[in-house]
Amino acid sequence: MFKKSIGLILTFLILINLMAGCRTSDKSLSDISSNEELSIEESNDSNVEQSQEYSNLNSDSDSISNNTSVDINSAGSTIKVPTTTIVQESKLQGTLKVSFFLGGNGDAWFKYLKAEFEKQNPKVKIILDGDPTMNETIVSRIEGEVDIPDVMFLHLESTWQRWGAQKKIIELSDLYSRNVPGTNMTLEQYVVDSQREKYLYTLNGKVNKFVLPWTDGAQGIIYNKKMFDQNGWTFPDNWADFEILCNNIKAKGISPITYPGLYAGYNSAIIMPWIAQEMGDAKYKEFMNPTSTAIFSDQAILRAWQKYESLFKNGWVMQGTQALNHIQSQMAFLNGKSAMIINGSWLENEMKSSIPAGFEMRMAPVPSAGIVNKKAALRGMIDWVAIPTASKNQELAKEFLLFSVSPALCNKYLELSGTFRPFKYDASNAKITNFIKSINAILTDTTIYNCSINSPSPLFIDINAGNGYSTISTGKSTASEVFSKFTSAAIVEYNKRKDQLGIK
Amino acid sequence: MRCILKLKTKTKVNIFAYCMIIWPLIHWLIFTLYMNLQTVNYSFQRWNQYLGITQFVGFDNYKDFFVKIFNNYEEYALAFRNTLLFIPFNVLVILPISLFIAYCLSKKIPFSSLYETVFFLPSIISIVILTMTWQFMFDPMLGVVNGLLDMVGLSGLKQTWLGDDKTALPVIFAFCLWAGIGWNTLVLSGAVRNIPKELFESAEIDGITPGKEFTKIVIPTIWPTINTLIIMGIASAFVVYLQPQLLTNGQYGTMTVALKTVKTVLSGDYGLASATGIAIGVCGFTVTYIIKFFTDKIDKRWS
Repeated sequence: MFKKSIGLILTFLILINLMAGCRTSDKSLSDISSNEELSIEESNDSNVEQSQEYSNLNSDSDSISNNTSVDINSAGSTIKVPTTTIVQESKLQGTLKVSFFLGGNGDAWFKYLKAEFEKQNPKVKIILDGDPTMNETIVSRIEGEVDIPDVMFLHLESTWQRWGAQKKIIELSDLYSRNVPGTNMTLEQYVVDSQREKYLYTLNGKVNKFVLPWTDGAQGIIYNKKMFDQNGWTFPDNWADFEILCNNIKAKGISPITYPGLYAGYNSAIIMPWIAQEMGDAKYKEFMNPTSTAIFSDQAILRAWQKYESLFKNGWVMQGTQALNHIQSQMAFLNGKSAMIINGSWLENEMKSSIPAGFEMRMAPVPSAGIVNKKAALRGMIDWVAIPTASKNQELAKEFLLFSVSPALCNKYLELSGTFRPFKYDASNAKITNFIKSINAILTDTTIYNCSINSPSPLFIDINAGNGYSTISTGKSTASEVFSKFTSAAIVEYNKRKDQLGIK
Repeated sequence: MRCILKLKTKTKVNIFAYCMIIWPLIHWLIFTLYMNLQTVNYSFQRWNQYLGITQFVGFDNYKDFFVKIFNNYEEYALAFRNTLLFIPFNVLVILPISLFIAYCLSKKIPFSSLYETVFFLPSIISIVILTMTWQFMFDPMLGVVNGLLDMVGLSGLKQTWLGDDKTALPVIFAFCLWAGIGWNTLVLSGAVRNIPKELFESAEIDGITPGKEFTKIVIPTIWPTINTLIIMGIASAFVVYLQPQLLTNGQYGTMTVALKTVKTVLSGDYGLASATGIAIGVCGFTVTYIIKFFTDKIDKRWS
């Protein structure tokens, strides 16, 4: 009897599981959330720890905030409301959970921001939730709607386009039309011109503003300043001179260029500016925000790949670069094995502990060529700030965001993390290294053509769709093969995405 | 409680047995059966990542997968070929070498337990550390491999090992061999050690050569273990992805289907990834079963 009943129970269990397996995605969502409940408990614990940590730090941050008034004055800008008055006037209250990706830029600025905002709004409590794995964990938190933060700073490429369309994050038009404290611009005017387009997400002709840019930076060619000075080389303005320079460097027995071969996407720092230079402004805008498949067979793309091919054919790329990861190639550059490296504004910070004494590096834009005939640089980062729809403190979150972009706080960000924010503020007085200054020169020079790293459109197709970076580097494919592969792959992908988006 | 005590011993044993299997059973139901059914379910759907809608698309994902393989779109055919290459590699290269090593170790040569540890070491160190070491070993400029070639005057053989279509895949195979023989050797030397001493002794009296001893005594006696390792070797060929991912990021002709699946999941195309997983799973099951059919026949002959 017992045997039978236990047997029956087990059969029943199997049946239930079978049926559960046949359910659709709703079930999987609830599954995720039940898993998440566990992690909430854990993260709550870590919050407790964090808040203890921050309370320990309070004494430090107080001393920092006392200094800020000096910084603000030296930066030549003014915060509209003095601290003392706002303590009485501020009506804001509540608790804000700020989740952020804890990467190379650290969390010093977030601690500072928290202290400043809480000082001005005594009834507001900020919980900082920074994590190196935030970009992965946040996806299930947002899509499963558990442990939702009120503000999130993420390094997650174009995920916001998806979440925007799915209404997982809120539209920020009203925030964009507000005045930024410490300036006389609205937030929309305050975002740097080259980046503004990226955040105006167009879907079916409707413009949406879902995110705020987080950081700004440039990618380009970084050269060994000391080596250049010793040999009497200067970084050239146009492509013809650049070719001469490479030959000169090669004649000296030094490799001209290296890059992280295993992660060849770094090469977009040169290939995108080349495409822009060859296409010209109008066509490049169409390339970044395509409205038909015609642009994918534009000959300018072929010319850019041919230029890329020429680097290898002329023997300008350091032998063995293809096999190097980012650290290996950066070490080769720092050890003087290569005079230049294709990299980004984070290089100095990333290699801080390995830079030899006396080593000086500078970033330079891609030399001028093509129809545009201007120097060009790949600008921007793939990170952003957004407010989840499921947040219960959206208004407070907006106040917090507006507060965080003031010129004084942008300068503080630059000083504490060595990274720019994509807003129009004066960074000339910030305490930064010569390398960062060279990047600032690129960012502020209006004669340089700025290519944005991000596209405002989900229909933008990655230039590496034909796997060109690595196949050209090994000589497996020619530029024209890669070009035709890219064209066919891009057309297929474009039509597929158009279908998915429901655009006719 | 009292009613349980009153039960017959046989019933008590049954209750105990059911209690013991219920936990692994639930575990299997949730993490194997449910997960796999869910994957099958996903493979017939397409998740529209821009609108957050899931649509039933029938066999479209499978069609996509096979079209990609036959036309080598996005290196799918290459990935498929590499995955299939891991089967003979696991069965015909790693296994015989481990078997030979296990046999040699069983001969009680000096320091044999030290060798056993040395061979097994790669199996207990994190693969991330191992691949990093290999990346530095094969570094084209600073690496020890090119350095050694220079030292013995073979500079002409120097290569961009992990950055060249000709050498990247062989280096990955070499890595898998180095990291893979430890586990097989451990299992096989256990089996060899369990062969009754009398068998060897009587064969020795008959004047057997070491070669004959290996083929006529060792292999037939431990064939069930070898059989198991063959099956495991074939099955594991279909899930190789960390080695190419960490050594070459899947570039330079080292892509595998499993790595392709991982990359597809990360790009948000869950439908195609599930279809790939199911298709390759069915393929793996068929191959494994066919080979098992033959190895079982050998098994019957020898037992």
